[in-house]
Amino acid sequence: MLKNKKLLNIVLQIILFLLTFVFLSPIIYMVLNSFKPYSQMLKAPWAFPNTFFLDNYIKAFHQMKFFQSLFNSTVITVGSVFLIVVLGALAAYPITRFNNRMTKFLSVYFLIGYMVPTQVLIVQIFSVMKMVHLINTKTGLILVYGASVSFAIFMYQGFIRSIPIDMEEAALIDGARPWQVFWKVVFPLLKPATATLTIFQTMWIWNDFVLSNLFLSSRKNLTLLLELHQCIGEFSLDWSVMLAIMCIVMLPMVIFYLLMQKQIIAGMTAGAVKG
Amino acid sequence: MLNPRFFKKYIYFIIGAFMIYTAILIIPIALSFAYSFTNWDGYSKTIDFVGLKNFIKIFHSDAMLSALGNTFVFSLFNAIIITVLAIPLSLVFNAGFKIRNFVRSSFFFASVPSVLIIGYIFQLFFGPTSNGVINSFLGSLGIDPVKWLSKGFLPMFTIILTNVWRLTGWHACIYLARLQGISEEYYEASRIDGASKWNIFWYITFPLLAPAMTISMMLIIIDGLKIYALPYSLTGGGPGYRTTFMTQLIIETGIGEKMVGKSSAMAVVFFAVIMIVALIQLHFSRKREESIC
Repeated sequence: MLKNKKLLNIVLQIILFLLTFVFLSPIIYMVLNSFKPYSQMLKAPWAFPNTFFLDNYIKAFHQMKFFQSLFNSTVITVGSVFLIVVLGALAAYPITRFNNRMTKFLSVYFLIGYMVPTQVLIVQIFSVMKMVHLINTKTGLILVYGASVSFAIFMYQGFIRSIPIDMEEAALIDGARPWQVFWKVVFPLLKPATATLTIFQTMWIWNDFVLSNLFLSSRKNLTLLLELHQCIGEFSLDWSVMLAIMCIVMLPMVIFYLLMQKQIIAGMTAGAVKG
Repeated sequence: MLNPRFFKKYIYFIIGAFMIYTAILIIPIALSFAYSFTNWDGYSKTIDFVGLKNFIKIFHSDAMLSALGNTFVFSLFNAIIITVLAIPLSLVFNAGFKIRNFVRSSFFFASVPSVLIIGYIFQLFFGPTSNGVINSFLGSLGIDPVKWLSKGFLPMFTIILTNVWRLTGWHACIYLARLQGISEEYYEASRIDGASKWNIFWYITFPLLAPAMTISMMLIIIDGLKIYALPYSLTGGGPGYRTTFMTQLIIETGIGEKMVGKSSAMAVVFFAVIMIVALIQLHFSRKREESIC
């Protein structure tokens, strides 16, 4: 009886293992074929590459402006996440710690943004950005992503409420200024919320296509993903090179995922996802 | 609460967030209402008030009606299928298999690459000729190639399938987080009472998953309503308007065709839809959670 159960368990695990491979087949297909010439990709898509074939990657680096776009992606993501986290935490603090008409109004005011997706407002945001001449600039796009600050405020509010107020009061009585109290006492205690927020906003902003595609147009401003989009438009005949470009574009996020896997799964509990 | 007399010293904490948020979200919301009654093209200096003309026009346009219908169909099936698959998957993640970490990471991994990349890969998978990965597989079984991206309801089916592939692992992790929080006592008690495995799942586990379901459903539905990059890279919105969704239509009308007035009217209608969906959803999930506690 026990032996049968063990056997069943092993069989189930093997089935699960195979299913997982089938599930991942699109990713496997992409990586595998990025190391083959196009003709071989068409003939035998699932075969291992015969030789260690790197031509696709060499061509890919010729076609795309890798370092430029990696730099742009990094600047935009880091800038936006910094803005969202810092401004969100700062604003959430007085809104949570004071209870007057203004803070009541503000917590509802910031909640509107939680309900309305930015994507739907794109045309109007576009005309606002045109008025202030920030179309096709990284700064403009960073500000657009910065509107997610409403989500950060929402998250930090819940978090600040759970922190006892005593330490802040003691620091204020000792003569510390509000600014110092916030950065030295409160902000360090918000670390779990900050970590979750940073991870999920980074994943969302790095992978965003809708907003970036609309607000950035000149080649020198393109992000990694837009660079892929550009190359597909220009040279989409040779798909094995395109697959190599996709692998290159995907790599930074994969590394990020592997490094942050534990925190990402932990953050799922907080429901800290918007995008 | 801190001493209310000192609130003034904190006002500048809020200014930054307030300004960005107002400029990028509140002003555009106000503008979309204002523009929806005009015929503005986004460039010219003259703006004419046209009353409700835009609204009348969009409700008579095939593009708008198909986009609204498509968005609805997609969101509905997307939400149902992901939920129906994610809950059993989370049970698999939670079972005591040795390889469960590998399985969990693999399924979650589908949500790591950008949607655009996923769309391009699946375009190769669902390619219409016998070179398409799925079709060549079908070919080896003796089945003729299927036009996945152009025939009948298949393009919509393909988009839903791709999105389900992408997000089921992610949502299973939301359920997993909740599963791990359910106390072992419930299971022990029901086992002593002689409940079958299915009964334990249906009467204990499933109802206790309600809070996770609220979060997961909310995310899927909101995410589904604003779908854009996936049809963009997979089908390009075609054939005809068969896979055109609201976000794409709003952007194309407003920026591509330079009809900001008309596109604003679409956005206003779409807001109303989103709000109604959000309220209905909130109502049902509250009711459900209350009935359990």
